[in-house]
Amino acid sequence: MMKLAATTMLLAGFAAAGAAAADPVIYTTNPVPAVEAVQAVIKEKAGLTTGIITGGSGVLLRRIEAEKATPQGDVFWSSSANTMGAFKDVLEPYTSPELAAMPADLRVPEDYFQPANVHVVTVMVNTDQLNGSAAPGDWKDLADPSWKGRIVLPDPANSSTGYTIVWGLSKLLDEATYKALVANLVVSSSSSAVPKGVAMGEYTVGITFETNSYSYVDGGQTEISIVYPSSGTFTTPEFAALVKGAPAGDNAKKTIDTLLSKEAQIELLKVAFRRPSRTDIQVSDFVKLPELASIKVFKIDEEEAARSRDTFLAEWAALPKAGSSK
Amino acid sequence: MNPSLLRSPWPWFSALALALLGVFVVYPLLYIFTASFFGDGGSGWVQLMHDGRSLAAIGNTLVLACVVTLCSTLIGVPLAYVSARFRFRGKLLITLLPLITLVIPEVVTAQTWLMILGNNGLITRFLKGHGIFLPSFYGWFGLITSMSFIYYTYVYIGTVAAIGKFDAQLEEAAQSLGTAPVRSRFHVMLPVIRPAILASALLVFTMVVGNFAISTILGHNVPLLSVAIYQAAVAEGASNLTMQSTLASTSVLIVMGLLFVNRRIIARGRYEIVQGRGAKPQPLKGGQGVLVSAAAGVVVAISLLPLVTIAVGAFTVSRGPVMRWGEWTLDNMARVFITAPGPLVNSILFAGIATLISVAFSTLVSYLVVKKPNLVTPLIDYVAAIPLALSGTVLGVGLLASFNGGFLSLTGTSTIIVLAYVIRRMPFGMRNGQAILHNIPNSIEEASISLGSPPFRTFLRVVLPMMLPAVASAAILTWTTTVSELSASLLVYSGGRETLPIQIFRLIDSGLMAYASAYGLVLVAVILLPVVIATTVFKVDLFGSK
Amino acid sequence: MGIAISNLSVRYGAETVISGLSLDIPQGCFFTLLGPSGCGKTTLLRTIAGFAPASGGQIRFGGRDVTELPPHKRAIGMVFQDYALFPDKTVADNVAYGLRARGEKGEGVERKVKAALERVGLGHLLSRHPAALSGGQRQRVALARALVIKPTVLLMDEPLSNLDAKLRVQIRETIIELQREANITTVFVTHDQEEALSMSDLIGVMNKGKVEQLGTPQQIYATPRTGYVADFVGAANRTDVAVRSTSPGLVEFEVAGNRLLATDALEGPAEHGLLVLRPEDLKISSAPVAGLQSLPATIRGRQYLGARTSYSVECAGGLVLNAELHGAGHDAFLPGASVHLGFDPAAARVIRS
Repeated sequence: MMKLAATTMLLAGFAAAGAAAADPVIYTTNPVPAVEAVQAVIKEKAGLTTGIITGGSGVLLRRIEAEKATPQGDVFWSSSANTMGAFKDVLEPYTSPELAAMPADLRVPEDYFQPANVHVVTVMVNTDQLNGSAAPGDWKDLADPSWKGRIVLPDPANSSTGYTIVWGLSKLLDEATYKALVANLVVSSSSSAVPKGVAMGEYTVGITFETNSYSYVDGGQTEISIVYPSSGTFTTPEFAALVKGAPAGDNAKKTIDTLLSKEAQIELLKVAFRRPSRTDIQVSDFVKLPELASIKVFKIDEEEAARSRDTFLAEWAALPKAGSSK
Repeated sequence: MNPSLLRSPWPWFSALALALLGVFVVYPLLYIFTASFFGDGGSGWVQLMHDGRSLAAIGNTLVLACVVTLCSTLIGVPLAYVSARFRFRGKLLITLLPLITLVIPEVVTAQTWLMILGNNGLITRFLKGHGIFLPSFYGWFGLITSMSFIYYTYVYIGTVAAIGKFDAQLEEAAQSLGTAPVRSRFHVMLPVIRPAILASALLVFTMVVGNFAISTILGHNVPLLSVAIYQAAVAEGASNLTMQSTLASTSVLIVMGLLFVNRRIIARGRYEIVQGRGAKPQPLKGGQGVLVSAAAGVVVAISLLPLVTIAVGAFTVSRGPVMRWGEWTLDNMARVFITAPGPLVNSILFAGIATLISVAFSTLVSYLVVKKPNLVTPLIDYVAAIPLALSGTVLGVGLLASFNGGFLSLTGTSTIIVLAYVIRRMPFGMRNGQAILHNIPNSIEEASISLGSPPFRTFLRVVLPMMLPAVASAAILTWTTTVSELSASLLVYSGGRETLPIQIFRLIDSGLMAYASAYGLVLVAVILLPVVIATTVFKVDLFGSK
Repeated sequence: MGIAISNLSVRYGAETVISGLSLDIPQGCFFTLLGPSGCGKTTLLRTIAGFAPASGGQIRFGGRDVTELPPHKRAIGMVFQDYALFPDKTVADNVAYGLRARGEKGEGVERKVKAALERVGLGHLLSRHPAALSGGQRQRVALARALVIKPTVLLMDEPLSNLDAKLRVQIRETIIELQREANITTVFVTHDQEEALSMSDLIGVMNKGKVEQLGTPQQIYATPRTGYVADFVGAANRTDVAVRSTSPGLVEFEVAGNRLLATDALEGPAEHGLLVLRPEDLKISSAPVAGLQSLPATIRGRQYLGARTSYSVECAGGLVLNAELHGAGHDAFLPGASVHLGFDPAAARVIRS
């Protein structure tokens, strides 16, 4: 018993020694490989060792809010503008010099948040599971009754990805096609189950971000292909932000600058397949993804989407779907 | 009260124990109950009545619990019967069953089932080739299959003990009166071992109600209570305290209702286990023997599959989420021990501290309850059993809500993880401690006191050493269940404080099976190491097989 | 050091187990509390030890009030029915336990332990564990453990009742020897009258939380003051009788139409009394015996017990008494035989009913 206690004390000391006080701390929602890649760039480029706290965006933002009096974190990375909008009073506007390399339409008023990357909604197809169906080329192909129960997407009620997709589809498609498509959908309560479900052959098609679907293509799973619907797909930027009263001061700003830098964004693209928010990176130089310019994008009004959330979700809940649990 | 009583240390310990339980068990529970009535949008119960999805989650959970309980009983009881009454080849393997369920993280089990019975799974593809189409493994089919094949172990363990104690003479008497063996078994043995079966079935029911890991991975489009609670607590953007409290309260009420039913059944007192000469296991030979060992072997093999999967996966090359089966590497293990050892260190640290606290507390409190009863000890006993009715998710929600700011702010600390561990596992230590203490006669203690040793020193010098073997086995069981705890810690942990199960859960959630397998294999080792050392080196009897 | 108990009462919740009990046990006395289970004897012992709190009254050890003193400070030695040896400690460590609790260390402890164990004939078992000992050996260890600390009083709670009959007699002797040697005031609890009679200096027969009679073994047996004592200690014929007249030391009484004489133990004038007559004090003969009061009677039942025979005899007027014959020809009488039943007035006592 004594020995165990001694060992645990030792380990505790070891664990505590890991993070020094002055280093910037990043609160991040990103997966481990992405975080590690960015940490390496920050270390190399800015000479800063960063502490990492991971969690869901809601959890992390609420924590920043709870720590308002004595902030513990310096940088939040990353979430959608709508999610972060509710926490503006604990975040601080910062016009990073790197913003000059970003397209104007990605920037937000007052530079409250900094665009970190752009998500593209893709149709992920498992060709082994097509069973004679032709691979879909557009949304309307998926409205055919033969797809009933074979398409999975994240639940719009608890995933912002899912909400973006369904909201966009309701604007893009005519009502009949939209309803026919929805009738084929299986809703998954976990957004990560969508790419996994398709990769494992559980579903033929999954509607998910490019970063998720491409990781299987990159991994060498040859039956996975990515379709950018011909009538247009949806993009949604993700943002980083500076925590108000960040204890690391200028180092926090330096961290944001590095996050937005060309080097970091290339690393993120290579490791985590995050499409850069900068315009000066040729995507196809690093990964086998098409340039954003070659993808037809259907522009959605994010603010309107956020405003109408409750009404829209109520209507959505009433629509018949393939994967209804009752 | 006699003044001399207050001079002894025990009333003070009782008060302290009650205070601790009050703050860390009763207060969070009351907090949830209160929050369910007075929320932002009015009473949570009114909201619940209009929330179709939540109502469906409650209904689904109850249906699932019933079906899984039934299936587990149908697997567990026959297995227990053959292993208690017969000797056959490979029987030793069956005795490993309790270990298997204890050590394999449920998330890994669920994932393995997907690899076998999922749409693209080995068996599914094989059957498809023969024109047989299985239903999707996501949803009911998968939930029922994977939970039944985990939870039948509890029925098995509970029943095997009861059959072992059952007096074979009763069965023989029935046979001598002209009943055929099979009928005599049903008519004589079943009623006698029914309380044990019932008790373990109720345990399974509560575990299904509280299950989070499998529910969240396989539930998919089947809303379930624990997943709904979790999502209400940590969903993106919003944290709905009222709704999560209402759902959590519902879960508590279901389990409490069940425990009440259980008590009623036991209180009826019709089922006395007849203690007597247990039957000697009969050897099974020839066709019968082959059949029984084959059937038992299949069950054991199925239970073992996840272990094989993670053992292979831990050394398999992967790129992102894609596994390159057949290509081997040590990178995944290097990650666990060198690149990202945080979860391993955290698990050992938190579970180690929690085990020490939990065992110390439950030993002392069971001593108070059994040996030093006073006005408050029955209350202590009762309150200390409350966590049995709380699923991990409910406990997590309760702690998170109660100790976020306010008089005691623990959110984002390691303390709250250790606290969750201690509260969740302490009742088992209590039960163990009380059972042991009932077997230590009061005279031993009085002998020590009469020889001039004060009460507390007597406890340390005489009672504790006598309890030590039992305390050691309780500590090891607490360790195994604590190290593998996921559902409560997943709610209260904060960045940098991931434990092995949390890390495995997150990696599987991100589809990174190879890393998850490596952490999973290490977790199994961390769990098993003390068990192996205790049973082989110190000969501790962990499963009460005596 | 003697034990003085005055006006002691013990309550468990609403139930009064002992009320207003007073008792003086002189220094060096072997005192036995005798009674059936539930009479309060164990509670009284535990109250003396301090394990059961007194709810009123006073207990003094040699003049020192110990009523409020916790048990570990009372300097008692205690021996339990189930031995209560510490199973994880060796025999030597068991015996040394009390010495160490008193802060004694080193060679002194070892020497005392060895001497104590040798005294009970177990000097060779120092390093054994209790599980490896027989019942008798365990109780000897317990005895050594209780005595090695030189307690002011020795308290024994039915220490012999878990042992078989032969062993019991042996250990009785050991206990008596040790007690005499240490000259230690001893309270011994038992429900076994033979134990009580053979070992004690003084016996307190307990009934319903009270000491019903206090006396030497001879006094208790020969001159029981109540029917309860007469019945509990040895067997006795007990019959209600009507008192006719008394003369100094003698009482004339009437029972079932017979007028007879017996020793007057009424302790004052009375109209009715209880005749106490031990079966072995009744003589059966075919003709009246000179010097004994005699009643014509008929043998009704007969139990041959080897060394003696027990008869059920019906006297004139339907009075049925038990008689026991020893010595040559004790089994001579058969059921149905007409006999004479005789007894010496000195052996029969009429007590207050």
